[in-house]
Amino acid sequence: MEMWSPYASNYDNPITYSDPLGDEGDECCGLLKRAWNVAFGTVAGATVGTFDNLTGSNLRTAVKDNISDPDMASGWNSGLDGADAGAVVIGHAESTGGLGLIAGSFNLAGGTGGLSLEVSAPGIVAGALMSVHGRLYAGIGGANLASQNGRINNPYGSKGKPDHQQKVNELEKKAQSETKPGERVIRERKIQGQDSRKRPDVQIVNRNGKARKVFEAERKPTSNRNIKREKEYKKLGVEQETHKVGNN
Amino acid sequence: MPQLDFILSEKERIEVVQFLFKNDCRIIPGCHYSTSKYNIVTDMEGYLKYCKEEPLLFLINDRYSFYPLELDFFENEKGKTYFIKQRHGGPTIDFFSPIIGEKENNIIGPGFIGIYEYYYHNNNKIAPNADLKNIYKLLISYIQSISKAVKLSNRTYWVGNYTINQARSGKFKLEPISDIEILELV
Repeated sequence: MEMWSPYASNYDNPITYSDPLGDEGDECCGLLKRAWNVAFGTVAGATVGTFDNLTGSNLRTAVKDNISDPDMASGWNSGLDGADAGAVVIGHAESTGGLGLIAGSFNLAGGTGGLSLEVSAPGIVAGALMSVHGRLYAGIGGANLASQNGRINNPYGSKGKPDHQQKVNELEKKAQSETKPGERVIRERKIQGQDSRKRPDVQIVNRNGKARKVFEAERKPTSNRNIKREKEYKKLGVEQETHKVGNN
Repeated sequence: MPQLDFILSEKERIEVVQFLFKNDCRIIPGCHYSTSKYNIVTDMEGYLKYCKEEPLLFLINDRYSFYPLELDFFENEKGKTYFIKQRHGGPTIDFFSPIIGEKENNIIGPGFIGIYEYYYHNNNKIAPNADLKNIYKLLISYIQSISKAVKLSNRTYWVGNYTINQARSGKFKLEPISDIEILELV
C-alpha cells in the first residue's frame, strides 16, 4: 500500500501553501482558459456560420464533431446563432436594397415632347442580383436558425451547466457530512437497491446497499417533472431533498 | 453513465479484485480521510488488510488515469474530514459493494461497477480514453462470467453463482430490491 498526496506540487505541505483543495492555483488560469474557449468558439461559429449562409455549404456539421470542450461548444452555438440571425437581417436588407436599385433604374423624365422613360440596364441587373442574393442569404440563414443546424446539443452534458455541477458538488459535500457509520455517498448513479432507473445527483447508501436519502439539484423545483420525480422517491420510501439551481 | 449492477459475496469480490490487479489496476478507497492524503492499494495483501472494510473503491490505471483524484472536506465538531470528490480527477472506474452488511449481518446487498461519460479536472470536462472503456468492458465481462442475470422491471442485477449457492444454503440473505426477493427470480 502506498500513500499519495495530491499536494505534491506544494511540497506535501498544504498548510503552508494556501491551496487546501489543490485546485485554487488554477482558478485564475482556469477562468481565463474558459473565457478564451468561449470566445474562440463564438468566433469560429460566427465565421463558419457566415460562410455556410453565404455559400449554401454545410461546413458546420463537419466542424462541430471536432469540438469537445463544453465552453467552446457553448460559444460555437452562440456564434452560429449570431451568424444565422445576422444572415436573416442582412439578407432582407440586401434584398430590399436590390429592389430599390431596380426601382431607381427607371427614370421618368418630362419634356416638351411628352414623357420619356429612361432605363438603366446595369442598374436593373445589379439590383436583381442583389435582391436574389439577399433573399438566398436570408433564406439559408433563416432555415439554419429554425432547424438549429450545426448546434451542439447540451454542451455541458446530460447533467447540465457549470452552476448545476457546482450545486452537485455542494450536495455531495452535504451528503458526506450526513453519513452514518458504514454508509457511503454515491454521485450521479442509478438509485441503489431499487428497481428504478432514477439517477439522483447524490445519494447516501446504507450498509446493505440501499439508498437511504437522495439529493437533487434542480433548476425548476416546481416543474411537473420534478414533482413526479419526488413522488417516485416517496413511493420508493427514500428520504429526499431538492435544492434549487440558479436564481430564476 | 454505464453501470453494471451486481450482487456478489466477499469471495467473488476478492476474485474480481485479483482480476483487477492482473490488469494493472490500483485501488483508491473512497472512505473518509483525516488528512488530505488518500491511500492507494497496489496488491492483494493491501486489499485484504484494508479494503475489506471499504464499500467504495476507485480503480485507477496508468493507461487511463492521468490526474490525481480531487478531495474536498467538511467540518464538524471533530474537525475536518476529507473525502474524494467523485468524477473529479482520474478518470476512474467506480466499484461499490456494500460489504458492511455482509460482514455484520450476513446480508449481501447490491453493488455496481460504473464509469462516466466524462469526468472533470479543475472543472474542465475530460473524456475517458479507450483504455478505460476496454478495461471496464473486461471487468463487466468477468463479473458476468461468474454470475447469473436477474431481470427486474427496470434493472438487471448480476448475481454471483457462489452467492446464489450460499444464499440457497441459508448462509447469507440477499437484500430485497424494491421488496422483491432476488433468490426467487434466479
